[in-house]
Parts: sequence; structure tokens; C-alpha cells
Amino acid sequence: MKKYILHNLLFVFAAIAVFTYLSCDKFDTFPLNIPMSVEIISQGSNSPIVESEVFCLNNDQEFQEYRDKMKKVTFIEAAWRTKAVSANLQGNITLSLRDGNGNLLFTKTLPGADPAAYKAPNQPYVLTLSANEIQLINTYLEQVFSQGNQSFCFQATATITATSGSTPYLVDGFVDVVFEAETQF
Amino acid sequence: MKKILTVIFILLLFSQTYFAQIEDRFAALAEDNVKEYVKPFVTSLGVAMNSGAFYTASVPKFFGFSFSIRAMLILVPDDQTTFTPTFSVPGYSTNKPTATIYGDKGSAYAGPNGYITTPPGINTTSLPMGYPQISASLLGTEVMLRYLPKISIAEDSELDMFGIGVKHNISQYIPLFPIDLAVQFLYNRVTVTNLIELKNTAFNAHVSKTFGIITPYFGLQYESTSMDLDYTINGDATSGDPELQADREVKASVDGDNAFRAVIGASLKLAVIVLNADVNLSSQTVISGGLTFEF
Repeated sequence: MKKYILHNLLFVFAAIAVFTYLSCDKFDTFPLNIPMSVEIISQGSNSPIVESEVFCLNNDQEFQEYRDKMKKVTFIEAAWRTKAVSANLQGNITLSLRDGNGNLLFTKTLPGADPAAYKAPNQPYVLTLSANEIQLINTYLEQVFSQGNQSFCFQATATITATSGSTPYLVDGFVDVVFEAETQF
Repeated sequence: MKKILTVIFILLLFSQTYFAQIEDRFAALAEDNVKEYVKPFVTSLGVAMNSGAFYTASVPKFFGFSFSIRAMLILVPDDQTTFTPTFSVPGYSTNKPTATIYGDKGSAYAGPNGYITTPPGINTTSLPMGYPQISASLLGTEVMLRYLPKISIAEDSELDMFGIGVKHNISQYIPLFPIDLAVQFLYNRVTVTNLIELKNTAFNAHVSKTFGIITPYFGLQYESTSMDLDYTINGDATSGDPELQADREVKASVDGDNAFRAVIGASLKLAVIVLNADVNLSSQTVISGGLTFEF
């Protein structure tokens, strides 16, 4: 009788354990969102003003923390926000992003001709990228990842075409980018 | 036996992998949002701990003893897989939902200070749970116990669980009453040091009627669950939310969405073995089953 009871108990325990084990997959992956910001200060007296900055995903503290467990990194979203702008400056901001090899990934011109429109407390401008542009970014990330390269770098360029305002022109702003890292535990 | 029980419970909820990942998820949320993020999980723990407490309203008039294994599947409704976050900084539009602990991917919200991101969930709408319990009865009153001793599950963290239930048969006072009627009070506590303390209480009235070896039963239960959460925000200087930019300790108290439930089920008694299954209708539906050795 004791043996019978023990067998039944073990069966129930095993059933629960298997059930539980199967559910563990849910915890195996962790799609981590990694935000980054790069500040671009464009100033000068001649229009257009072109300024570039390089930023590397691998310099991010969170990226470094999970790097060994990451299986894939993909692009999620990017936005522009103005930090400071010279008085009465009107003009267009064109943003472009190149990969670490200098290949163009996208170019976007912000709507309107008022850089101050994207200054706090106003909302930043979220860049609307086409599926092809997103694919170009993700292909680059995949290539870097597959080669075991530790350097996930991009070059962001802001081109300010001033149409009015007094010189020297100044547009100080951030390109904010969010990546998603598929992290395996 | 103790080891087996321990392993099951830990695997179920708080294995070191689970533990680290749950902590990682909490670490990316400030107080207000962590409450919404974790609320469905608190509800699940509440519905789980308050399930499987009865399979008949009959209580032995003299002495009885039983040992049970309870297993259940909690079904999480879709509307508990997302929530709309709030941020203390003005200028952030939360026009898209993000994942609760049961949801899929987190979100990114653009605003005047840069992006604020929210963590992903575990992408599931069902959660299995199980635990052992013992009961002893005397003169129409039954006392039920659930217990796990303190178990180390991570550095500086121990899990322990304690639950007690008291049930009294009411129908014994009513001559010729055609069905069994009982009332029951339950209290459960689950603690993970340095992370959570969960407390839940329940009060129910249930009825049953035995037909040979089969006993259908039905119950109505009022319950409440609360969890105190103690975690550390993993500061990220690039976050748009100043509350998330530096490491800091956070304490939050979260109430589960637990109030009323209806239980309907049946048990089958074969000598000393009782098998039962029931459906619990509450904010999260629970399908529960049990194997009991009754002496």
C-alpha cells in the first residue's frame, strides 16, 4: 500500500515538474530595449551647416552588461529633439544615419522649418522609417553581430539649412535611438 | 520528500533564473508603473494560493487526516497582458500600451528628455502552479496547513511559504439538512527575502452532496491579496525618466485584482484516494485539480 501511494505521489510530482519545466521557456529570452542618445551641436555662419557624431552601441552600459547573452540586436525607433536653438532661426533639419562602414542607412528631413518646435516641453519628432530603411539598419547589426565584432557604431549627421535668423546659427539637438536586444538566459 | 517539494515550488515560481529575470524586469520600472506591471502576477498568486482549499463540504464528525497535492492552471485574460504606463516627467505621450509581466514586448516612449523604455513580460497567458497541503479534522472542524521551510534561492534571498485554513461544517447543526454546508477561512503568506512578501486571505461558504463515490461541490469566496515589493532600480543615465537614472531602493505595495470567485467542481472517492477537479471563476480563471489521501 505504501509503495502504491509513493508511486502515485511521484507520478503527480513528475507531472507537475514536467508541466513546470515546459513553462520555463517563457523565461529563457528577454527582449531588452536599449535607448541611446547622441548630441549634435551645429553652429556656424554659413548655411548649410553640417555636423556629424559617431555613437557606438557597445559603449552603452546596459549593452555591455548583457553583451555575452545577446543573440540578436534590432532597431526599434529613432527621434530628434532640439536642446537649444539660436534666436529666430528658421530652417530645415535633415538627419542622416550611416553605418560603421560609411554606408547610408537613411536620410530624413524634419517637417516645418522651425527647429524650436522640437524643443522641450514640446514632443520630439519621431522619425518614420520605411521597412527598407529599417531592414538596412538591421542587416548591418546582424552583420556586425555574426562577425563577432564588438563595435556597433553609427554616424549621425545633422544638416541645418537656415532660411532666416541672425548669425552665428546654432542648433543643438539629440538623435535618440532605441534598439532591442534579444537576450538569452 | 522535502527536497522534491522544494524543487517543484522553486521551479514553479522562483528558481534562480526566474528570480534574476523578475528582478531585472522590476529594475527598469519606477513605483507607479511597477505596480501595474506586476499586478496580474499578484492576482495569479492570490488566485493560486486561495484555490484548492476544499473538495467537499463534509467534515468528519470525529477525526480525519488527509494529505493532498494541488495542481492548477491559471488562465490570464488578454486585457491583463498590457497596461498604459504613467511618467512623472511632462511631455511624454503614453499612447501605446506596454507589457505587464504576462505581456510580450516592452515599449519605448519618446519625450523631451529622450526615450523612456519599459521592460518586456514573459509572453504567456497561462501559468501552472502546485503545492502540497495537509489537513486534520476533529468534531466537524478542519485545520489545513501549507508549509515550506526557508530555502535559499539566491544570494541573500530565501523563500518560505506558510498557509493555514480553518473550516467548520455548519450543516451538522441543522437536522435533516439535505446537503453539506461549510464555511472556511484561509490565510497564506509567501516571502522571498529582499524582494517580495505576499499575503492573502479568503473566506468562503461551500456546499456539496455525495452520490455514492461522486461528490459535486459549489462555493462562493471573498478574497484579497497584497504584495509588498522591495527591489533596486538599476539606474540608467540615458533614461528620459529622472526616477530611473540612478540606482535606488524602491518599496511598493501592490493589491491583486482578487475579490470574489465562484467554484464549481466534483470529487471522486476511491477508498483512501480522492481525485477532484474544479473551475474557479474570478478575475483570472483557474482550472484546479487535486489528489488527496484521506484517512
